[in-house]
Order: sequence, then C-alpha cells, then structure tokens
Amino acid sequence: MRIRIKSFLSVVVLLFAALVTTGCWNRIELNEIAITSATGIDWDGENWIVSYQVVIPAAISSVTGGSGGTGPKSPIIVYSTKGKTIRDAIMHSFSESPRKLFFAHNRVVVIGEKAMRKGVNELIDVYFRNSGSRETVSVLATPGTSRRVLEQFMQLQAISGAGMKEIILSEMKNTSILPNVPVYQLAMEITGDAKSAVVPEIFVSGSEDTSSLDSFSSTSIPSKLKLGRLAILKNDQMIGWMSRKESLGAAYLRDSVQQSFVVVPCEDQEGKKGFDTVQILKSKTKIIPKLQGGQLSFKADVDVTGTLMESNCAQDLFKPGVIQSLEKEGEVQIIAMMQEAWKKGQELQVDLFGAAEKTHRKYPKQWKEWSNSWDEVFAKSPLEAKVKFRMARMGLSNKSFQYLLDKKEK
Amino acid sequence: MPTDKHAGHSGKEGSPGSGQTIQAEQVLLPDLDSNLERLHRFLGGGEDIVCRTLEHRSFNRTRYALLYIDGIVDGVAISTMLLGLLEDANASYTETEGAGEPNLYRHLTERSIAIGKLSDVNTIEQAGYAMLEGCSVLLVDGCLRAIVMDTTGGETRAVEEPSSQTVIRGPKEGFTENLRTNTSLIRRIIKSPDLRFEYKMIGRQTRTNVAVVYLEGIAEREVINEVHRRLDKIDIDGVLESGYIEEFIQDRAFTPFPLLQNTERPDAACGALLEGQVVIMVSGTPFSLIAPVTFAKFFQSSEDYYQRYDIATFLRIIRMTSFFISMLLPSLYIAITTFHQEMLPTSLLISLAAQREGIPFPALLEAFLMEITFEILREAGVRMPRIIGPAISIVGALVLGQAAVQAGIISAAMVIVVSFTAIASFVIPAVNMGIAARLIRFVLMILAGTFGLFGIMSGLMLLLAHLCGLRSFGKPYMMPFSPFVASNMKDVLIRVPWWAMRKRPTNIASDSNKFREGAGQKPRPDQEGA
Amino acid sequence: MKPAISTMQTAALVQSAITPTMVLAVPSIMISIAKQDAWISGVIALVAGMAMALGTAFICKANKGQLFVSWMESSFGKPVGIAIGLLLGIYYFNSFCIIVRSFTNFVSDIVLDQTPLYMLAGIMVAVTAFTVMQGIEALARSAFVVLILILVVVPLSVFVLYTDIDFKRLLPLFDESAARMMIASLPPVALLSEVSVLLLLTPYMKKPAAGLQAGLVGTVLGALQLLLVLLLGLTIFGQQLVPMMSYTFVNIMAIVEVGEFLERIEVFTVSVWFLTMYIKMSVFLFASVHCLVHSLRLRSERHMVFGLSVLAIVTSLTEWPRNMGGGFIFAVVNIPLLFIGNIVLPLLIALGLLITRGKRNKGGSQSS
Repeated sequence: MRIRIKSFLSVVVLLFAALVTTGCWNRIELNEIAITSATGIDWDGENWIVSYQVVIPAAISSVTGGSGGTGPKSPIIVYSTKGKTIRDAIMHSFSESPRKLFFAHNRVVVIGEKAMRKGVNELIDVYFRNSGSRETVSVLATPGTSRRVLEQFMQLQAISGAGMKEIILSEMKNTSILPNVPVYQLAMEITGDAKSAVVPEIFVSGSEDTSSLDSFSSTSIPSKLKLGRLAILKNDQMIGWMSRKESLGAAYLRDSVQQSFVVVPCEDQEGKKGFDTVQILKSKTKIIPKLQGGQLSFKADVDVTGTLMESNCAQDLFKPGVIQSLEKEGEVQIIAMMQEAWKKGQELQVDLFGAAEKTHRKYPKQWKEWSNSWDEVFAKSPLEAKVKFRMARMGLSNKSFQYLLDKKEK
Repeated sequence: MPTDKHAGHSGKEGSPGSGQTIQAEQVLLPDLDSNLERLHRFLGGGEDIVCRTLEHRSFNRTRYALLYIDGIVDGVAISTMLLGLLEDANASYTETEGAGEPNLYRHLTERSIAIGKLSDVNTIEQAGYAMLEGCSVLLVDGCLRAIVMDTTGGETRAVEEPSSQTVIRGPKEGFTENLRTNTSLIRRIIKSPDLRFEYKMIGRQTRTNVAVVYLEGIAEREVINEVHRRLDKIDIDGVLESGYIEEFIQDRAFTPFPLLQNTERPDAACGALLEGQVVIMVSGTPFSLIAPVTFAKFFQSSEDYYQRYDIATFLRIIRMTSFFISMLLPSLYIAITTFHQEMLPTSLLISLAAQREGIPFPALLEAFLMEITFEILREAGVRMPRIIGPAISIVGALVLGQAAVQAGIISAAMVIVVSFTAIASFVIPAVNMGIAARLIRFVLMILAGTFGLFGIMSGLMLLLAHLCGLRSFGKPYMMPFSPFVASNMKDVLIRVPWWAMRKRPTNIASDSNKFREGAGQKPRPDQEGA
Repeated sequence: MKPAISTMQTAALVQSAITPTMVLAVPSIMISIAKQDAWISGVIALVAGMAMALGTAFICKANKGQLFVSWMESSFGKPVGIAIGLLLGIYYFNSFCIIVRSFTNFVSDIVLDQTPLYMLAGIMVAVTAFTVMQGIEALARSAFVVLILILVVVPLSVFVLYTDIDFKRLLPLFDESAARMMIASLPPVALLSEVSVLLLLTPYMKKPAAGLQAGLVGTVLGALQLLLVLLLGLTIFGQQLVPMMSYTFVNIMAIVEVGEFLERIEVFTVSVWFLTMYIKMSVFLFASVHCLVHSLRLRSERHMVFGLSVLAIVTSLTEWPRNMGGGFIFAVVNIPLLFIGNIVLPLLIALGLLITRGKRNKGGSQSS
C-alpha cells in the first residue's frame, strides 16, 4: 500500500513539475501567430524574396460581422523578406513581424516566373522537411512578381489567399482547363518518370492598382485576379507556357477533366452557321503506348459524356442524325485540342501527359534504355487520338428556340 | 427490528462504545424494581423513556412494567397494545393454574399482547438495545426474562419521488431513510422466495442496520461471500450514509472512479438484483449500493429499459459522448488552439484568433479560470438555500459569462466550451461518474497545456491502464470491452430489444441460471396469424 | 490469484509489440530499397513473420505453465536459467531504451519540436511505468482496447484517402531484382521477430495452448498494417517521393482534405498512434522487469519498475546523439540486436530444450 502511495505521489509530483516548468516550448497562443493565407516566392537573381499575405483576424471578423465602427480595415497585410535560401528569408521575417508566421493555413504559394525558371526544388524541400506547412498547398505561377498578386484585393472573399484556392478549385471542377496542383503532386510529377510538371498561372488583369480598400466602395474593381495559362516545368524548372486551349487538350490527355465544355459549330438545314455549347459531364482518358517495329506510338482513348447547354442553330434535335453530327463535331474538337497539346509538348520536349509512366509500366524492359533519353523518344512518338462522344441529355427543351422562331416565320 | 440478530451481535461486539466501561452482562433479576432501576441507568435516564407499571388482577397481583422510548415507536401500535394489556389486567381469571411469574409471562405472550413480533431477552443490555431500536420491553416481576415487542415506528419520511435520479417514464417511488420501508419496496417488486435479505449491524455507536440483498441462484456465491467478508471487517463508530461503507469495501482506494454504484430507485435496485448483482442497503439513507459494477453500468439509466430500444440506444450514445465531452473538451480546446492550430478550419481559426485579440491570459489559464468559476457556481447552487437560486443563475450567466467576454478578459469561445462541458457533465446519469470526469478534466487540461494532444493521449493512456486495472468485487471494471464479452455488448453502447437479451450479463450473474427469458419471443404477428 | 489473459489480448500485445515502430519508419526505407515492389517485400516479411510466430509458439509448447525464468531454470539448471533471464532482461531493457528514444524523436519531429527531449522521455516512461505497475492483466486489456481503436481508425483513414489512391503506381511488377526485395524485407522481418515476446507471455495465458493463434494473429495484424502503409504510400505518392519522407504514414495522413473542415488529420491519427506506442513500451518494460525480477529473485516488481524507468530515461537520452533521426534508430541500429534477441536466443533455447529432452528421455529409459 505504501508503495502504491509512493507511485501515486511520484505521478502527482511529475505532473506538477510539468505544470510548473511549462515554458513556451511548443505552446503558442492564437494571438501570437500571424496566420499566413498565401505565400509568394520570387527570385531577384541573387536572393529569394518571400512575400507573405497575413490575415488580420480582428479586421476579418469586423468585416464579416459588420460591427466594425472605425470604418473598413484591411483584412490582410503583405510584406516581403529577402534571403539566401527560402528558410533564411522566412527567418528574417522575425525581425519585422510582431507575431510568428504560421504557415499551416497557407492556401496557395504563388511563384514568380523568374523563380519558376530557377527551379522549385528548394520550395518542395521546405514543404516536406517542415511539419508546420502543409503539402496540400496549391502552387500557382505568375508572370510578374508574386508580391503583386498577393496584394490584390478580391471581392466576395476577404482573404485573397483562400480566394485564389477557391478559384482554382472551382475552375478545376467546372471547366477543368487548369488543374489544381498541390505541392505534393508537383513533387510527384517532377520526380516521376517523365520529370515534368505543370503549374497553373494566376495574374492580375487590368492595369490599375487594387490594393486599396477604396475599391470596395464601387461595384466594379479596376483590376482583379484571373487564372490564365499553364506553366510547363521540365525537371524542376519552368520552360514555357501553354495556352488555355492547349491546356484543355493537355487536361484531356492527363485525364484530369472533371467537367468541361466544348463549343461545337453547327449548321441548320439552310446552311446557316452557329454554335452549340456542350457541357462535358464525364470524361475518361486512357493512353495506351504501342511499340511497333521499334517505333513507339501512343493511342489516346477518350470517353466523353455531355449535355447540350445552348444551341443557336435551328435544329430539331429529335431528327435522327442531328445528335450524331453534334457528337461527331465534338469529337473532332476534342481530338484537335489534344493533338495541339501533344504537339506543344513535343515541341518543348516535355512529356506532360504521363506517357512515360504508362510506357514504363507496359514496356519495363525497353524502358531501361529509353529512360535516359525519354524526351527525345517522346518527341518522336506520334499520338493517335480517338474520342467517343456521347450526348446524354438535351437539357429541358427538345428544339432550339431558333428552330421555333424559324418555324413561325414559315 | 430483528432483535434476535441484535442479541447475537451485541455479544460479539462486547460492550460497545468508547464512553462505556466494560462490564459483565447484567442478568435480569427476579426483582422488578431493581431491573427497572438498572435498565434506566443503562439507558442513561432521559425524558423520552416511558415506563408504565401495571398490576394484574389475577396472578397474585403480579406487577409488570412496559418500557419504550417515545418517538421511535409506533404510537398506534403502543396504544393498541396498552389497551389490550389494560383490559387483560382488569380481567380476573379463575382458571389460574398458579400464581407467580411463569404463568403470567406465558399468559401475556400467548393471550394478551396485540403485537405481531415478540421475542425474549434475559439481560439488561439486550433489553436496552432493543429499546434503542424502537422496541417495547415488558418486564414482569419475578421473571428472569423480558418480553421484547417490535413496535418500531415513529416519524419517517413518506415514499417520495427520487430527487437525484429522475426519469420521465418509470416508477416514481424512491427509497426512504427507513430500511424496513426500503426492503418492503423491493419485496413488492420481486415477489420471489429466492430473494434474500441478510442483516448486519455496523457502527459501534450508531448501530446502523445494513441489509445485503440478493437473489439466490442468480447472484454469484463468491461475490456474496466477498460482500459479507468486507462488511464484517468494518469497525467504525458511526455509519451515517452508505458512502461510509462504500469507501471501506471498494477494491481500490486511489481512484477517481466509483467502484460501487448507488441508487435511490427501487426499480434500479431490482434491475441490478435480477442481473445478479448484490444490493447493500443502509438504514438512514435512501441511497443503496450496488456491487459489483462495471464502467459501462454508470451510463445506463433504468429508464433505458422502459423506453423503446432504439431511443435507449440513442440516449446511451449521447451519454457516452457527453462523458467524453465533459472530460476532454476543455483540454482538446487548449491543445488545438495552442499547439495544433493547423487542425482548425481556416475560418474557425480566424474567428477564434479575432476573439483572442487582447485577451491577457494564455488559453490554459483562461480555461482554468472559467472551469473553476463554474465549479464554484455549481457548488454554490447545491449549497445555497433554494430561495436564492434564481439570483445565482443571473450572477453566473450574466456577470461571469457575458460581462467577462465584453470586458475582454475571457474569449467568447472559451465561455462556449466551458458551458457546453458543464451541460455535458449533467447528462451522465451517475453523479459520481460525472464528478470523476470533472476531476480528470483538470489533469488533462494541464497535460494539454504542456504537451498538446500528445499530453492528452498520455493522460488517456494512464486512464486506460488505470481503468483496465480496476476491479469491482473481483470483476474487471472495463468488462464488456476488455476483457471482451460479446454477449454483454448487447446492453452497453447499444441496448437491443428485450426479446433479444436472453442471457443475463455473463460473468456478473451466476453461471447456473443464465437465461432470463424464453427463446423466440420476437413479435411476429403475421406469422402467428397464418 | 495468478493473472490470466485471453488469447485475443495476447494477440493484441504481440501486435502492439511489433506495429508501432514498424509502420512509422520502415516503409520509407523499404520503398527506397525495393521501389514499387516494396509491398512484395512486405508480403515476404509477412510470411517470414508467420514462420517466426510458428517457431516461437513451438518453443512455448514445451513450457508446462511455468513462468519463463523458472521454466529455463527447471530445464537447464539454475545458473543457466538465471543467465538466460538476465540476458533477456538486459536485451529487453536495451530495446526499451531504443524504443523510448525513437518515440521521443518521433514526437519531437512531428509535433513538439521545441519541447526538451528529457520532458518527453520523462512523461513517456512515467506513463509506461504506471501502466506496467497495473500488472500484465491491465496491460493486456489496455492493449486490446487500443487494438480495437486502431482497427476502427485505420479503415477510416483508408476511406478518406480513397480518392488519392491509384493502383497503377504499383506497376510494373517485379521491376527490382529479387535480392533487393529480400534486403528490403529485412527491417520488417527483424521487427516482426518481436513475436518472441510470446515466450514470456504464454505462461500468463488462460489457454497457453492458444499461444500459436495469438502469435499468428498478432504478427499478421502487424504485417498487414505495414502492407497497408506500404500500399498507401506507393499508390498515393509513388515510389520516388516516399523515400524522402521519414514517417510515411504521417505524410499520407497530412494530405487528407475532405471539404473545408477536415484537413491535417495527421495530428489526430498520430495521437491515436501514441496509444499503441505506449502499449509497445509497456510490453518491453514489462518483459524487462519480468526477466530481471525473476532472475534476481526480487520480491517487489514495483521497485524494479522505478529503477529501470529512471535508468531508461537517462540511457535513452544519452546513448544516442540528438541529431540521430528516429527512423534511423528504428531501422538500422536495432536490426542486429533484434536478430540476436529474438531469433538467435530462442533458437538456442529450442536447441537446448531438444538436447536436454533427449538426455532426459535417455535417462528415463535407463532408469526404467
């Protein structure tokens, strides 16, 4: 019994000691952290410049709560530090911020074009080495400096860092032109067999500065953030851009299309031309490598389901052949997009489409010799694209409005 | 009261009490006056000792005396008996076989006294202790024995609705302070010849009656013996409540967890008896003890068995969740907001951070302040006179909650956490388990404030190891979980319908009588119709 | 009353003696050696582990319900028995220190990087000592509860990761040479050999004959968790990325994003993991205390627990330099030790038992 008391006491003493010696250690109060919602990384030729978009919680809750009495306050502040390495730059932040930068809620990391061209290896290492930052941060590229992007205010979303992530996610979900690329995925692609990756572009459209809160008082703001092209990375360095159309083609090839749309030219009985818009509801791509007589070629099999969203040709959709011709046109469009993207890839000698993995899996023996000069092998391999387009629904009306009008006129 | 027991007991105890000198037992003498005088002296005089001397018309005008202590006897019984005695004293009996004491004694016991339960004693001490329990004593001149009549009664509280363990549906009767009433409440529910009441007397001064109740053949013999052995070991001068006994007979002294269950509901006690548990009832308190118990039992309310099973299951899950909330929520809040901010959704983090702007204390201290404030409020609520009740709730809610937040001393989120914790702790049906959760909460808060989630997990590991090491009367405390007993799981986190609970809880009830109901009673009206 | 633990509880003990270390550090090492075929190495380890469980259970069969040390003494004579007891005691103590240190490093790496190591080691050992003091029964029951918890949490984590899994990343099969696969299976095989703790546990079992089941279930559960983490790592990150993650499991959980509210659940998962780590440490401290107390014929286990705990805190903190990664300690330093303690020693015991039994049989036939 006495021993039991002793053991009990020893536990109590230990707990007490734990309480008494509670230093700062890892404890950090919520009002001691600066919640970073977006990080920007630039390279000025010698140093890394890291910019931070820090949330001001009190301003945010007064913006949303509406109880702020002293007029609108800026919900975010942006500042930059410079250093020989990324971490070095971050460490310099301690000398100018009253609070410790807290990166776990960082939503996006925006990388300036110069930094992209220098390489993203260091960034990836920072993300995997430190437990504080999360690997699900979306990577975005910007043609100018990243700081400018971070300073840009956004409507509807007070924290533009979170807003940028929301834009890219909704874009990926609804049009699928640009993919959302988290850091870990970027790392996976760079280390993958093809040693290439893509990063979506974000840029400030419009010339005027919208980093002042005054712009919130008007209904249209002079400049805003927009998603643009697709940055192409080889190894870890950026080598070029891909246009939006090519990006969509690449998205089909990468099988990253969730929902998208395609505008199909159409023609009515009298030869009047117009366009139909078809929403792509489902898309599935298979890339199959083929080895024939030492020549590697690829076959892309795309299975697409769509629904008609808009039609401005005078068509009777119940008529046989109309739907089929629509489907046919859609197939042609998608094939063209994919070929264009493939060409661009070959031109840049970058395999963005996961062809390397597929080849590795299908021809592991030959892969051993190709792997060293994959880019050349890839550049010489033709693509044969095949799309199976299936129109699932016509929407709520069976005949286009134009068709009805035309009927009446007759 | 069971005076036969008492006779044997006082012998064992010797001369109890610290103030009384040890003397040899005083045997009753033939002389009535000397007996009366010695009995008075034994009881220490006092105005409430009533002595009525009578003289019988027959039997050589033998004198005899009726003694009782006023207030603890049943007045109606006394007056009825006295009426009978007086009538009898005035009657003249011609067929007296002889004068003298033996005949009058027999005459009285067999023909005259209008009391159901009589017994003989032959010492002053026995007579005195019997009177202290509310019996009346009839001393007959020239007689070496005295008649003890059970006239226990007096003012007791009526059977009322239990105040601490309320139900919406279910019997409204509660135990009272009177042991006899309590046993009768149980007898009325379980009308089985197997129902056993075994009485003990504990307490040198209070001489409290304790009843060990069980169902023969359903309760495990070993447990019953263990209960007896532990009760017999108790040597204390007074037992005022079953809590005294609980601390003496629980398996482990150092634990925040209750190792015995208490109830003031006869239906809950009977439920326990039917599951093979032993109920220990103590005179003077409505709370009787139930042993052995397992951790899960504290989350069962007797109402669970009166409600439909799906409702009962839902409520049980709510209760279990509440237990963990009341134990863990403040520490989780501390750990997450001061160590693992990354776990919070961004918008929540920002609004929490906004609330914390300007709060002077670290979250740990803030939580401690609020928790202790709440504990004080709760204690005040229990202690203070009923009339002031509303005042304290205004002070608590308005002043401490709202004002503290507006003054920027406490963050609003902390008030939410603390009040939610408080509400959750009231959901646990067993108050003592709720208190255990409250105590552990503070330890976990310190650990969380020092090591974050790792600290909480370390605390939970301590708790788990401790719980797994606990036993209640030899039965593992964490029973249906670990050691895992599949059949008992039917009535732990969930409650299956009655027709599916054929077996009594394994390992608690005796193995000889496993089934409590017939098989195949699931209602199938359509098939029966066909 | 002699404590008695059920078969499932023993399996839980064996499982938790194996899994925590194995799942944390081993996958990344295995994947760096065997690339996308690491899971095949996992299967090899599973088979080898089952074989070891069989072997251990076979040795245990020779025990007729005696505690380990007294069993050794009765079969080999007192001095040899005591020597074996001491040896095993020291082996388990050493393993205990290694485990404490590697878990300390793990906790430090993942969440509490600024908390001094001695505080972490201190609280870990204190909790472990408390658990051990509750007795083998309480330990076994806790292990069982924790096992159930793990069995709930693990499928849940797989469920939330479902969308990120791409089985094509496992192709092409058999890309690496068989030799590399064998090498990759070495660390898990070494850790699976912890099943030899059964030697100490079977005397406490309600049904010692069920030691085989307990060992098998424990090993298979452990190996399956390893396989699961390997497969998750490979199918989610691919073979190139995993080697750069010290604790694959943690990184896997870190990418979970379900809606806007469920993110960064790795801290939560790791927290549940802490519980299995505690069980593992308790099993080893128990084994060490058990061997030493019975060999040295001490009356009180509690004093031994106290002494060893303090010693373990000091040893684990000073024996290895601070900068040594937890994963490295698990995986490399430990392997030869594990093989000696868990395979060579039991083999010697088995051999000894065979010889003495042969002798005894001979003696029996001569006398009769």
